[in-house]
Amino acid sequence: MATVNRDIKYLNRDFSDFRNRLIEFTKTYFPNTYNDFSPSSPGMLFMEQSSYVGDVLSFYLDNQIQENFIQYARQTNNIFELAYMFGYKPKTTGVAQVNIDFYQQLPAKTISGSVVPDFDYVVTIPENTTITSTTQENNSFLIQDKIDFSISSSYDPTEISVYQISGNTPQYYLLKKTRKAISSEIQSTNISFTDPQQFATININSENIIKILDIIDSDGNKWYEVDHLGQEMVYNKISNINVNDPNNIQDSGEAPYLLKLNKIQRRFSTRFTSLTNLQIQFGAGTVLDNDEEIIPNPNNIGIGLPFEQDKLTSAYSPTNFLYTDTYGISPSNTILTIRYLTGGGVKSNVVANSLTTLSTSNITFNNINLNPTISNYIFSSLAANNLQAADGGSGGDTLEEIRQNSLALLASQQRSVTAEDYLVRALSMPSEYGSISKAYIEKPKLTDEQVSTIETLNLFCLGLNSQGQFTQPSQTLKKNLRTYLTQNRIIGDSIEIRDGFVINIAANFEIIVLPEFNNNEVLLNCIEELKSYFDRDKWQINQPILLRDIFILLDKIEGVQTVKTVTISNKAGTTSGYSQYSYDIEGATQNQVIYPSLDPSIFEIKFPNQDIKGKVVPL
Amino acid sequence: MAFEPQQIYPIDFNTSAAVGVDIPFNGNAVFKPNYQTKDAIKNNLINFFLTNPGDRFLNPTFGGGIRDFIFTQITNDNLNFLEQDISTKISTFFPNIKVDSLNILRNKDTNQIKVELSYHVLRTNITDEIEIEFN
Repeated sequence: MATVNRDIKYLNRDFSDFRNRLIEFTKTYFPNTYNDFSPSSPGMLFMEQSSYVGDVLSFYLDNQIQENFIQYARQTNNIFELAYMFGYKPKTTGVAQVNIDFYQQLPAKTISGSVVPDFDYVVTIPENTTITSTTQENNSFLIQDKIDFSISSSYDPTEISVYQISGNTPQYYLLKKTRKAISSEIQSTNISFTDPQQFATININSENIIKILDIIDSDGNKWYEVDHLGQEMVYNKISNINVNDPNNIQDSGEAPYLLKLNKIQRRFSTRFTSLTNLQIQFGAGTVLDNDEEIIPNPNNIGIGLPFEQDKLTSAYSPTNFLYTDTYGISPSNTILTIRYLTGGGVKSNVVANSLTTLSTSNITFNNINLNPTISNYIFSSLAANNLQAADGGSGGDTLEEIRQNSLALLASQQRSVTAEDYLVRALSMPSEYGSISKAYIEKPKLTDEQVSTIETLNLFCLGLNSQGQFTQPSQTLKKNLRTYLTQNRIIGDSIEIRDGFVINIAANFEIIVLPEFNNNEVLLNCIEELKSYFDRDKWQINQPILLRDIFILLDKIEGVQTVKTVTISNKAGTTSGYSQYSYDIEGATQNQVIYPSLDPSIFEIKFPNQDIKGKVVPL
Repeated sequence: MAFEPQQIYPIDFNTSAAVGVDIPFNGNAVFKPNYQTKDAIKNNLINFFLTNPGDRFLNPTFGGGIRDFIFTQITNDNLNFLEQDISTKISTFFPNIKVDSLNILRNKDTNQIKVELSYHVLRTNITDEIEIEFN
C-alpha cells in the first residue's frame, strides 16, 4: 500500500534554507557590512540563531496547517474535531451484529371445524430486550425493534409451523420471527440539574460507548438527540394504529410506523472528545416552548430571523427552518436519567447457537384473561437462538478510518441533487416505514399527462407483498416515503411518487442433453439456474431481457449439449394472481432482446415453480 | 630553498568593507565591525573557545568547551589534557591555522589559568596571539 505523505511544507524552508538565504541576502544587500560566513564567525552565530527561529516557526506553521486538514492531521483530538466538522461521528467501538431467531409456541384451537393457531396467546417482546451468550460470559445482545408475534408482513414475516401433534391433530404451533441484534449493554446514569445554565455540558466516561439510548427527565419528558443544537426538527416514528392515524390503518402490515416531523425543544447533541469520553451538550432556551408537530408553511419558515428581508437570502434546512435561536431547553431543577449503550469489540463476535438466554422480564402477552396453565406453558416456551456467528465486532474507528469516512460523508452532503441521489435515498428508507423494493427515477416525458411541471421528477416505486412478490406500494408507504425524502430534498425539486408497472412473464426452454447425463437432473439444474437468473433482487425497473444471455447461461450447465429454444411469454390477469398489465412480448423483441415498455416496468416471474418450464428434446 | 607564495585576502585591500564583527558586543553600537581578516580570525577563535559543544543548532561538535574545565582541579594532568584538547580542536575546526605556541599558565593562589596562544595562518603573513583568562 502506498504511503500517504502527510508532511505539509507550506513555506518549504528549514534551517539550512533560512541560513543560506540569509547569507545570500547579506551578500546582496550588505556587501560592505559583513563578509565572514565561516561557521566560527560571531556574525554567523546570529544568522544561525535567526535561521533556527525561522525553522521553528516554519515547523509550527506547517504543523498548524497540517492539523487543519483532515487529510493530513495526525493528532487524535484534531482528527476527532475535524470529523465532527465534516458531520461524521467517530465510532469508539465496533459492535457485532447477528440475526437472532425468536420462537414462541401457540396452542391450537378449532374454528368452524378447522384447527388453527390460537393467536390470543401471542406475546410481544419489546425493543432493547437482552439476549445473553451461554458460552461467552459478559456478552449480551440487544434487539432494537420490538417483536409482535401477532403481526406478519413482507418486511417482518412470521414463520408458522406445527410443533406438536396429538393423533393427526396439531396441538401446538411454533411461531418464529427474526431480528437483528447488536452486541451491547444498557448502562444508566442520573444527572441532577438545579439552576438553568446556558449550554450545559456533561460528560460520560466509559469504555466502548456506542451511543445514547435515551434521556428521560424526572417529569417523564423525553429528550431527543440532534446532530447539532441548531436543529429543531426531528423525524419521529409513531405506530400506525387507529388512534394515531385512522386513514392509514389498512396498511399497518406493510408500514407499521408513520413518519412525522416534529419540532422539539428538549434536545441535546453528543460528541466524543476521546475514546472513553462522550460529551453531551444541552441548549440555552426557556421551558415555555413545547414540543409540537410542525408543518412547514410560509408563516413559520424563518420565523426567528431578525429581519424579514433576510428570508430572501437565508439557507434553509428541512430540519432547521424556524430559526428561533433557542438551541433547545437547558435542563433545570430536574434529574435526567441517561441510558446509553456500551459494548462491541472483537470479543463480542460470539459463536453460532450461543445466544440462547432470553431476558423475559419485559415480555408481555398481547391479551388478558388467558388460561393461566396454558399461558405459563407458552411463556416458558419462549426461546431464542443465533444460527450464525455474530460478526462485525471490532475496535472503534482507527484514525485512518475516521479520516476516510469523514471525507466520504462530505461527498454525499446529505442532500439529494441528482436523480440517482433520490433513487438511493428512496431505497434506503428504513423498512419499518414500509419497504421500497425497486425504484426508478426519470424526468417526465412530454406526452405525460400530469399537472406538474417538466422539472418534476417521477419516482416509480414497487413494494413487496408477504410472498415477496412485486406489488404496488400502499398509500401509507408512499406518504412515509414523501416525508422521508423531504428532509434531504432541495427546496426547488418536486418529486412525484408513482407506481411502477409489473410485467409477469413465463420462461420455457428446450434443451438437448448429452448422452451420458441424466435428463431429469440436467433439466432441474437448468430450471434452478433460470430461477436464480430471474431472482427479483437481480432485476431493475426498465431492465431488458437478453435472450442471448439465457442461451449462454443454459449452455454452460454441465450435461447440456444444445439449447434449442428459449421462449418468454406474458402472463396477465388478476384472477390468476398475475399483474393486470398484459404486454406484447413478441412486439417488444428485437434482435434477441425483449425491451420493457415505455412506462417504467419490470419483468417478473411471479411463480417460478410453475412458470419456468423446460423440456428435453431429441437431437 | 623552496619558495612558498604568500596569499593576501582581497577584502583586506578594501578598507570600507567589513569582514566580520568584533567580540564582545559591547561597543557604541551592537556590532563593531572589523576590516581585516586577521582581526576576523582572532574573533572567530575567541568565539570558538567561548562556545560549548552543543550550543550551535545543527552543529553539535562546534565549540572549544573550555568552560567545562572551570570547576576542575588545577592539576598537571588536567592542564596537559586541556592543552592537548585545544590543539586538536584548532586543527580540526581551523585547518588553516598553525599553532606556534600554546601555554597554559596557572596561578594556584587565585585559582586562575591563562591560555596564551600564538598562531599563524598558513600561506599568509598573518600571525597573532590570543590570551584568554579563566578566573
